[in-house]
Amino acid sequence: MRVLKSTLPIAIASLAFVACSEEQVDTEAPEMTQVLINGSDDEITVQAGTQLSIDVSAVDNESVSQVKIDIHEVFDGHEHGKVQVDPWTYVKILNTSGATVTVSDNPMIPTEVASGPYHVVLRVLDDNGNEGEFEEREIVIENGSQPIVNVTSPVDEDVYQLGQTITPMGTVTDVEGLEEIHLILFQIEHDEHGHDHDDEHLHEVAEDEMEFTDDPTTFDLSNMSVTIPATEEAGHYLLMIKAVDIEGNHTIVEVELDIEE
Amino acid sequence: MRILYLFAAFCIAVTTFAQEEQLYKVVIVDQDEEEVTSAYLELSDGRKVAFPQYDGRFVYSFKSSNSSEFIKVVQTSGIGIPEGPKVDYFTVYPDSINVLEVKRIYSVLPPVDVGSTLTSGNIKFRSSGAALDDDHIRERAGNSLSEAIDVLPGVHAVNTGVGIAKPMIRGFIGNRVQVVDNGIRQEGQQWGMDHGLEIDQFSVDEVEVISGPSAIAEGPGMLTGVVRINPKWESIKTGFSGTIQGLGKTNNRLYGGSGLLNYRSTNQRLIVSARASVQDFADYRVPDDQFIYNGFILPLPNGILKNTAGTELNFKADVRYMFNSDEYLTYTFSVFDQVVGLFPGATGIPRAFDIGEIGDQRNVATPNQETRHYKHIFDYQVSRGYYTHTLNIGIQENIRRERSQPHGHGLTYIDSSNTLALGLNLTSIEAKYSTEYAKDNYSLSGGLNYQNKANRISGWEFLIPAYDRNEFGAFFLMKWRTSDWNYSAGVRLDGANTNVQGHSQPYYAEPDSLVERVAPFTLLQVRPSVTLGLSKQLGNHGINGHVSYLNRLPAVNELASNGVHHGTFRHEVGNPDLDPESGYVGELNAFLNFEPLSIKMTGFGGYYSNFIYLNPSGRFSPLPDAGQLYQYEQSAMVQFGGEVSATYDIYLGSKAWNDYLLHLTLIGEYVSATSTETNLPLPFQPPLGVTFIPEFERTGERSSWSVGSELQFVAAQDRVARNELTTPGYGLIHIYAGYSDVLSNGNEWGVSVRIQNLTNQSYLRHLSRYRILNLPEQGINFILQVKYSF
Repeated sequence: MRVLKSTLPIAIASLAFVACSEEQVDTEAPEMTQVLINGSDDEITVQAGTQLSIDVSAVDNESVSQVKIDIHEVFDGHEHGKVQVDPWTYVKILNTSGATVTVSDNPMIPTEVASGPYHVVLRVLDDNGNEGEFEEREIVIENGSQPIVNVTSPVDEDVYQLGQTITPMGTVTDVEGLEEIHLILFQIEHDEHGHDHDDEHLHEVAEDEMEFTDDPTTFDLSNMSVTIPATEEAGHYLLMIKAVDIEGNHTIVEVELDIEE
Repeated sequence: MRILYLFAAFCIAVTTFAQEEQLYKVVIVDQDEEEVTSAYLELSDGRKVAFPQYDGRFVYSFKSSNSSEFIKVVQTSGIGIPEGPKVDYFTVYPDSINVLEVKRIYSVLPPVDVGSTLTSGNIKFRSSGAALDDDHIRERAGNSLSEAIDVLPGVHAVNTGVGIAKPMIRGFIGNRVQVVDNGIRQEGQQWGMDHGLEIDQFSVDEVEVISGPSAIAEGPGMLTGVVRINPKWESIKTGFSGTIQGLGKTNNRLYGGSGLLNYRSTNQRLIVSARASVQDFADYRVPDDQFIYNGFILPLPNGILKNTAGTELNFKADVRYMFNSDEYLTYTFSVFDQVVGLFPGATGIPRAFDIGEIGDQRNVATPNQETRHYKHIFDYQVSRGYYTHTLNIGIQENIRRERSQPHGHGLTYIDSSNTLALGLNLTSIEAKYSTEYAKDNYSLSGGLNYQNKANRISGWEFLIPAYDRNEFGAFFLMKWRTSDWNYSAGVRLDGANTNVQGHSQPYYAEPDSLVERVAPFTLLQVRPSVTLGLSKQLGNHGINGHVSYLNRLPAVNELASNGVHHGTFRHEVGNPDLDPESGYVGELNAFLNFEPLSIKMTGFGGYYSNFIYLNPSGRFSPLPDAGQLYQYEQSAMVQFGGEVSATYDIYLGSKAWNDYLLHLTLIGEYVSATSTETNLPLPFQPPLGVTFIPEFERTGERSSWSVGSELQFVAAQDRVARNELTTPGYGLIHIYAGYSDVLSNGNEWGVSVRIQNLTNQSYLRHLSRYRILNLPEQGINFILQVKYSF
């Protein structure tokens, strides 16, 4: 017991020391203050074979250490995975230092990449390993051979009734040949909390799809339709027309609709 | 008592020894027919027998030349403490097992147990001393074995959705918490936070959690806590018997069942037992229709978490042959087969289009994980005089398949039908021999173990390399008693020779490139561990504790991983230069008994000079869409904490057999672990929690029923590691009721209902893998169980 009596106070004291010395630990995460892609902080459309310019400003209470840029496709998983032209993926880690930094990167978009929507994901770290929240930007890359979608009807803010069938008017053309076309109706659900910039999300309510075996170069959209389920609620809806050609190029056209009871 | 008489009847062959000396065997049970091991015997000549031998049950044995012996049974609160408060006298005879029934005074676990005992296929909780009494979690019906024992003080389950969970003891998990089944270490990919324990919860007869000296004989790295699963052979009736169980849950529309068939031969030598279990469940529901991730609001249509359905199919067979009452051989074979879907956001950034369309709620799409575990265990034991020799051999194969869409990870050069992201195939063979010499007031035991593990990998992702590892160990444990104290002292030596195969693969989407992810290496490490335990009875009360110096040899994932671990959402990098993790740990338990109030208090602490942990490097992973690199490093760490459990029984009557009993239980626990280098807490530490369990029960001669509630209060966890999210506190209410009845033909049936999360509370669980995504836990869940035994 003598051993225990003599070591116990030391053990207790060392615990107290640990408890009291929790100052000066930097757990504050860095933060991106501005992200500009080709000078814009909005969604942009860019051409394959051109250079992107990405500028990221970030702050940290001590020192920002790295900014990471990831670019990948967001062809949204509806297609069936037959692609001939690879989508573009890009990874870059930029080293930096200082409490307030701006870093830039100018990646060249290869000419041979699939057309369609892409995400630019930006992450930031400080010297101590604190991770900031990531930023995500959408860009649309076109390579000149993507399907051309020309929708004459419906147009934005057209009004439909629940249970009604929407038959779009217009054409899709592609010189290489079309692989598949999707017509998807989403309900736009607004969030009452209004958190951050992305205060709405999409809820798919109906879909029609065409898969081609004969690689047509033109398609009449009136051959497709979606019916608004009568069981859904009235409100804002999004009609998405997505065309994919045999090379894997994507073109997406969106029309916002008002749907009434 | 029928079972006990049967048991006594079959123990016919008792060896007689030199001249007139005869062997006596004594089993002590309490009023509930549960074995009492916290006792010792005193013979008429003053000799004391302190330590029962486990032989299917705990048997005290001694030799005497008298034709009968008048013995004193002294119940204690630890291992054989002299002059306990309760003394009973019995006359015992040689040539058969003497089953002595005593009234339990105050049951406690063997020295330094953190938990208690859990038994039976439908999870019946037994209180050999922790706070809960006999039937308290019988109706818990957890989503897995780990969750069923989550209520024990100091024990938690770390879950990945529903169905996948692993046990945590005092904030330790993975490589630091071993599970020993029938003497053999469960060998899967236990390092993975998102990997579950591959054991059928229906098949488990008894679970105990032990730490300190008793754990040193179990295997390496177990001094801070090991989960031990024990078989229960003695309760099997002669002839054919069995149980059929059914289970249903509303939240994830689970249905399941388990069938058990036993046979015990009339000469009592052969016991055969087989069990098959099945569970199938749909996507589970949470009490929210959206969640916020990184500033984005994401939908959960009708509160359903897409692709969290699963199926489990298990089989187990046991054969035991008794050569005589002192010698047996057991063979156990089991298969565990589970497929569980993963919420799509769990393997990358969650996207509305991935999770907003639920589709078929019962199917398992990608991503998912499939685990199949085969296990063969041989258990041979023979007692000769004062010696007991035990040999265990275990052969296991763990096949793990993590599946996801290669294109979802940008790997467009891989065919979309090739969904095998990560395949891990671990085969292991373990052999363990131990011998114990027990006489009068001391026992000595020693043993050797050897284990060979071979890990092979496949799939287009990479996390840990293929490796071969040979582990060997030896232990020596001594227990003895003086007039005031009981001591136990143990020492272990463990070694591991690890041969890691290097691994190279193409860099991301460039199939022609080749990047070395792990270089090959060979590492031999050998380290000792030492433990000293003691206990003392103080009137109605008792204390026990241990101090230990321990060394844990690094596991292969700590030495050689290099890849994105979806279980933790980060890029983890191993470090082949790690030293064995050494630390000094201690634990002190106090048992206070103020009839009818019983209190157990535990304090524990530890200092590790080089605790192994994942440290954020301040650098990004070069892999696409991966966040920061986390590297295995070592630094000093201090851990401390405590647990309190208290029970209070109010008899509404005269404590007779048929009386109503109000049983109140309170459990509280706290643990803190801090790196002294960064002054930051370790990640994944359970928050302060308090659980109150009032239960009203009536036990009759044929039928019994109980109703109760578990009121769980969990504090916020604000002590978090760097980049770990804090978690707000919450309170949960669960209620349950059960009824069972013995029919006139002796068969028994029972039904129980439980409502989990009665108020449909939306809460985040700090120890849930989905907490990182801000996903709430399961909402209200009605659970129905029926059981029929013949």
